[in-house]
Amino acid sequence: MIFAATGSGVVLLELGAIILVLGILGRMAGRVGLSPVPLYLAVGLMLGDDAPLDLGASAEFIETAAAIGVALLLFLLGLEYSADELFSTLRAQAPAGAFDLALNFTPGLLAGLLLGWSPLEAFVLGGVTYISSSGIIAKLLGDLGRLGNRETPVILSILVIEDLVMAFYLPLTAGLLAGGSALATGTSVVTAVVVVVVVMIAARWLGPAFSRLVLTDSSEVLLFTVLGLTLLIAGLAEELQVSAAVGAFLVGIALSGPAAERAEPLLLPLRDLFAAAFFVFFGLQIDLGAVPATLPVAAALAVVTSATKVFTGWWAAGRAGIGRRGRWRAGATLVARGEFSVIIAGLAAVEGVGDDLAAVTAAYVLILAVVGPVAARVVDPALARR
Amino acid sequence: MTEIRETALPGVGMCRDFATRGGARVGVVERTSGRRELVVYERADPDTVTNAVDLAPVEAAALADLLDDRTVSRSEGGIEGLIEGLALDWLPLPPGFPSATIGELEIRRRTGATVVAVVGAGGANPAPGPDEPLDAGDTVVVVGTAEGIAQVAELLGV
Repeated sequence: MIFAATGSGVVLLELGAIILVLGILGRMAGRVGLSPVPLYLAVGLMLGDDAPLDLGASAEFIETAAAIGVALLLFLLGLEYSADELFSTLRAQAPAGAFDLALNFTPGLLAGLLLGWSPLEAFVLGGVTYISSSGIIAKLLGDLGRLGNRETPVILSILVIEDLVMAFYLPLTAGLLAGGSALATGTSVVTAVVVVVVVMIAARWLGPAFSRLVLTDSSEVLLFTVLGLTLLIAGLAEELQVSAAVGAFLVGIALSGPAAERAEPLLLPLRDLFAAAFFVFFGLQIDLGAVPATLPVAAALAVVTSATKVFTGWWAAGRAGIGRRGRWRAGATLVARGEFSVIIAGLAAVEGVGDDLAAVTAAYVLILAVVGPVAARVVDPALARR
Repeated sequence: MTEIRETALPGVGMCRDFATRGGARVGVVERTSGRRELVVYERADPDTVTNAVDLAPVEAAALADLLDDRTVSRSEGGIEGLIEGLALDWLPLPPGFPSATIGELEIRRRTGATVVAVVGAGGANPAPGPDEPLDAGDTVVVVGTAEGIAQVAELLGV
């Protein structure tokens, strides 16, 4: 480094440079209609330990910011849903959700086992390939003006169910990663599942009262209340091995009505900043040298799981009585993987499990976060021409 | 009556659309954020939106104004200069309307809108008080928010 000392000036310099680079990359991604998430990951990769640019003073801050980023990503996701909406979607689209899980979790799980990884690592890779990126897809549907399309409710329902599955998968994985005796792991997993179920049911009954209690006229007070609550519950959940992400998600679900509407615009910019820190941090943890070797595996996995996602969407849309073009659009739109895959792999990375896992996930998300939106864009014009 | 199809979009909002007599299908996507999108479907493939127009709340209100001939547009009839967000409407009371005074109906308390004139068989009263009777066949002139006026219309059974 040019600057020897690790004074606050250096921290500001490093953070400023990183954030500015993210801004420039985000601008470029926006211009070509791509998600900035893979670019953020790439920035992290470039800044890792063995990478060309070494990060000094700000690494610690980025690590803390990353934890806040995960909590905020999940909180805002939960905020978009009400407990009622979750339950009614689950009732209506459960078969599509089960089909999605079976078809897209299995390839990751099998690939992990074939690579000779531990069953736990394979289980995590299954999660990585299972979950579509609701962030990328929701943005894509809006950008392409497809919100009114007949297949869109099908796509959104599948995403809702995936998010709901995550509410159980994340604590389950966290419990398994924590390890210990079979009894201890079993206990923590059962605790986690019970907590999630109880909170969801409670959110349905007590959510409105809770939301009224939180609501205030002052934006500043509302921001502090909601942010404080989210981080507090996330931390509590983490300590109980339910995973911080799920704690934050549950706070988002419980908050509804005017409190949710007012809180969302206040927390969005914070989410964007801290989530970017999370993606950079995930990249930081990966040894850049390990990535090229994982490319064939990631690419093969991307091909297989793109096909299974397309088939999932195609089947689910067909079940809802959608025509040929709509079925293909539903399939292609679901291909994008992004923030959630990284969150899942990040859970393992923080516990120091599976170096290859993180590298494969990074390469996999880099591929599908780019290919997914492109696939969604080109599929319809291609069909319409025929 | 046009049959409006309602589809919930989990996490996004609600889509409402209907088919016109001419066979076109149009709709509005209402986002939870309050933004609206006007969508027009393809004739050959009713699953597909060919055109989607993103509307901010003011723009959506402007479009509604243009489409709704009951609401007096700001530029029409010399009522220019009305404050943005304020609307004015004539509501003709239906034949079966049970007579009541403005005060009894609690129009202002319940809707926030104000009756500024009543046009009846005996001529127009430009400044009605709470004791002003409203009878079937009268026309009531109301000022308020668009929403408030819609509530008055509902209250009066117009």
